[in-house]
Amino acid sequence: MSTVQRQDLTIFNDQTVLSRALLSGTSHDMMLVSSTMSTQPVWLLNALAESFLFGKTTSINSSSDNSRHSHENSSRHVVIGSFINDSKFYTNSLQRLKIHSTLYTVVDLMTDFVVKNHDKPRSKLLGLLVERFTSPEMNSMIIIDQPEILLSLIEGLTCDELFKYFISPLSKRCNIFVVSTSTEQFQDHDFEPESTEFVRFITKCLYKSIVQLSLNPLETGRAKDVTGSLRIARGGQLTNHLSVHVVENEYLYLNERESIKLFYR
Amino acid sequence: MSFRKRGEALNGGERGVRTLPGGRPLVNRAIPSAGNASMRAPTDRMTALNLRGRAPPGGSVMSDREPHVVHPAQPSVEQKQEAAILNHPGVRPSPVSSHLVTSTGSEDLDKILTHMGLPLGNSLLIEEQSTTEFNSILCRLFTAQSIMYNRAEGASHSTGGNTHLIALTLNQDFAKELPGVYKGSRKEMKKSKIAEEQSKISVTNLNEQKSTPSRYKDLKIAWKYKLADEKDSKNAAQRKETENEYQHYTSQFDITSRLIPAPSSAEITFISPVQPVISILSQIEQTIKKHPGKLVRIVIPSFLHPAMYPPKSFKLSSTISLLHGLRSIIKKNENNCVLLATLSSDIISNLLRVQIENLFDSIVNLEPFPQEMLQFLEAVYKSQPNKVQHGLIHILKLPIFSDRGEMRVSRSEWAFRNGRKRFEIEEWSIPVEDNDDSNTKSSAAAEKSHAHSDPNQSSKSNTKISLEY
Amino acid sequence: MASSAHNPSILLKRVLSLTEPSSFILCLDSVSQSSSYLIEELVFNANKSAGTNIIFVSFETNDKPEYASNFIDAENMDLAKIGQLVKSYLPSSSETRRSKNLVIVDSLNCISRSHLTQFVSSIASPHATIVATYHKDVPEVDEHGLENYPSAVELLKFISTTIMNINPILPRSLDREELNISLNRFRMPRGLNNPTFKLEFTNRRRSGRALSYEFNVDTVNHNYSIVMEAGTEDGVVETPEMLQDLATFNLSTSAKQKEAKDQVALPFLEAQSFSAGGAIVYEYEKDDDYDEEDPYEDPF
Repeated sequence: MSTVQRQDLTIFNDQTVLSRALLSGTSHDMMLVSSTMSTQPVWLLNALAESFLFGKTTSINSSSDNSRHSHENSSRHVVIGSFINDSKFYTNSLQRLKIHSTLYTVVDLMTDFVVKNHDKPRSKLLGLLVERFTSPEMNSMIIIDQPEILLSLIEGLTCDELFKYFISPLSKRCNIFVVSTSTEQFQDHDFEPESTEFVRFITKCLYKSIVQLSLNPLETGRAKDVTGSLRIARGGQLTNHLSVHVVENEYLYLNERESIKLFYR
Repeated sequence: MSFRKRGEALNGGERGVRTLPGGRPLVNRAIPSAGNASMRAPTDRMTALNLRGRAPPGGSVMSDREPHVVHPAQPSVEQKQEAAILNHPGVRPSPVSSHLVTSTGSEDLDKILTHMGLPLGNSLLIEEQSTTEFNSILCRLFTAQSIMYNRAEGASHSTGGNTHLIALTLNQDFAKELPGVYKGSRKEMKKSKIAEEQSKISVTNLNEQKSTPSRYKDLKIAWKYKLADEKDSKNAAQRKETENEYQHYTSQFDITSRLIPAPSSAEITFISPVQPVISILSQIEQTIKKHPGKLVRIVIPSFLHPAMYPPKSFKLSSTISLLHGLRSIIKKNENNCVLLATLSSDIISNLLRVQIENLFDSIVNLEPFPQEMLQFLEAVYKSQPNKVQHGLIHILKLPIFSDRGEMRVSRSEWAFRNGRKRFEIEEWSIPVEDNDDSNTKSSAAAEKSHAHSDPNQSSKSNTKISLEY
Repeated sequence: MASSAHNPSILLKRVLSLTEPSSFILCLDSVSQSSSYLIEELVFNANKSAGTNIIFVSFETNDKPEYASNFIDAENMDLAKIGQLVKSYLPSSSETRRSKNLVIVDSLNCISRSHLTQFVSSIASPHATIVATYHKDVPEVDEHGLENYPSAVELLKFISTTIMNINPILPRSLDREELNISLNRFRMPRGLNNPTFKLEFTNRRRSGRALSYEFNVDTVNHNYSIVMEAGTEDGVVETPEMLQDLATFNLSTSAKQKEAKDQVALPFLEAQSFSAGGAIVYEYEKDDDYDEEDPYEDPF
């Protein structure tokens, strides 16, 4: 494996992870990151944030030049909201990438969520959550980590309501909206009737996205030199309104000691 | 590598200084001076660790070299609390990351978690297939270990102990069922100690005894095993060293005995799981607040056991809210809090199980062997019945690493055996049987037992077993 | 009108350009091939004659498409309001102007089954064509009190005048089974959502009789090719004449040879008749050593 050449992560046909074309218009495009329990996505979310801010990723195939981020592009801003990790989890990892803290905001939707919100009506609660994302409309990206947890946390919440009061309003507040979701429960099992809302959720995400980035472990189980595979595939939305299109691809990646290496499959 | 060791070298080899009998812990190594306290965020684990082992870079005021410098007066409450945790007998640095960890009460479980324990601010879920109750033993070990910490020599009794346990259960007898520390009368102790030394294979034993262990004669390819033994003994020697260093870190329990005196309400707080989620969460938070500076260990034995939990607590909104709230509490108190929960995975739906797993930092899954497999193992280990393993232990998530996105699932790599003195975990391989006649028959049994072993287990691990076989 | 029925491609073209009257076009899609390309194709055809009024009713689309004259963000509206809005963008029923009107609904999946037909009729108008997408792979929510009521797909199929069932043309590296495994795990395979796809096109005549055809639709070149049903081009029967002059030696058989060949008794013909039920046909030979006592040696 040592002879295998490392590959740069590219998603669009202009050799970028997040093309400038996504920012040029007034469109609000959505991307879906799906992951499993054994292949968690934090490094990929970081890489997306990094390349959105600086146009390149130093965190993948890491070289030593990650101190060279110029902060000229400070007109851009990333907001990360997570239902599963506290804000420290992200600030620590973004600090490690030497991303200046003025360039991002972390909205902690984990700490005290239940205690603070248990008695609020559903639509009101979701509205309040949206209000916590105060990002500039232009040149911004919102990453939301595991919003599907709301389907379990809020009694009686349906997928349609989740989209209506939370996902859709948020996705219209930024240029690029990234939903990170877990597909663990679909790995080895058939649908159970009680997971209908979860299936609706992820299916709808696929329809709304221009691209899906999926992280999965290898079918053959654990390997020393490979963590899993990253597949880039088109979603249900067209990219006609953009001057770029998605380049489908599949990489193998190795995540070890906080460094990421990408290879072609 | 242990940071502690470095500290000791600097200390002039004052080994075990922390736990001088009767004495209060020497806190000067760890209590930061007012001068360097400003340098670090109170929650930054890395710096905290530095403080523990050696002076932080640039920390000019205090260092290990000057252990007797008079401490600056009035450290803040926060600093005091942190120092208490750093000097806690049940807290040590992880050898594989920059985190502080605490023992689960089972040395082998600590080991397969790779951190030699459960990192503070993390949670561990122990799932068990079928209806066996191995998980409850791990629960009790975890609990008993908390009590032992609290009673350890050097724990500052003036402040009312150093550890508190919160048990989320209706079973008030839980506290009375805890295993006692392994020891007997003086004579017995001596006897057993000799026996233990002999049974332990160490370099000195091998040389001194001159008689080779009986199993070398039994086996046709003994030299290979001998090599493995030698490697083991080297490790054992190394282990001993660290054992000395953290002699109160993991206690050895005898599950046939009882912990006496039974823990008091100052040591355990019981909280009923059968009440609204919000009141459970607020009670837990209040309890943690009541015990500042202590290591707080939360245990949920047999989560969602239908005898204890009413049907409505199986609702997603109820279960997940509770665990989400707990996760929030653990992360808020990440410097002094851990959570261990056990769960029978057979009784819950796939959807619920995955949602529950999602909220834990680490997960192991116990898969007890079915009857045929046990019979096969008993037949193989006819002469050494204490070598029969009781099941497989699968690792689904490892603390810290899984969060970072590393793939750390290992299925069918470890087997466990529950003994009187120890919950042992060892590398799993199906033993080879000498007797040719019964071989085919029992291998078929073994194969069969694995064919239906684990509904969650993907087919690949099954293939692996048969290949190994 | 009758003539178009004979040429399926022309019929499809007429429907797509809204010249064939069809008041409710239902698009059934899946994540492996969403209806986006088909809608674009429809808009392309409809826009050939200028002045088509396109109303886009959005339940899951964020941005107003370029082609839309009016965009209704319907996700947060109640259904009656949507009906009113759509009506307000359409010419009143008394008007006689012959401009084309198109109402696009991007997804019907979030409308509950009990309101579905009502909603469709509330946006319907004699002047307009409704094109609505229903995602086949989104599971329906169970609703109380709707026992025995048809499923959403059944309902929509029943009331639609044209059904466009969209399926992907699978890339060579992917078979249907793999596709299903991947999609069940919600991991999109590569090579889907292409501009070229399969379309099962069902058009209902005014009598209610349905005509069904299958097309490969190429939205890049706007080319629709009908897929012939397999088995129409039968393999040609081989004749002795075909084998002549193919080689320097004789490949063909004469009538006499053929007759002789047919008379040959095939050695295993008995085994072909299954009346014997799989029994082993065994005859003793003189050297056979058969032990009556041994139960395992019984060949029967």
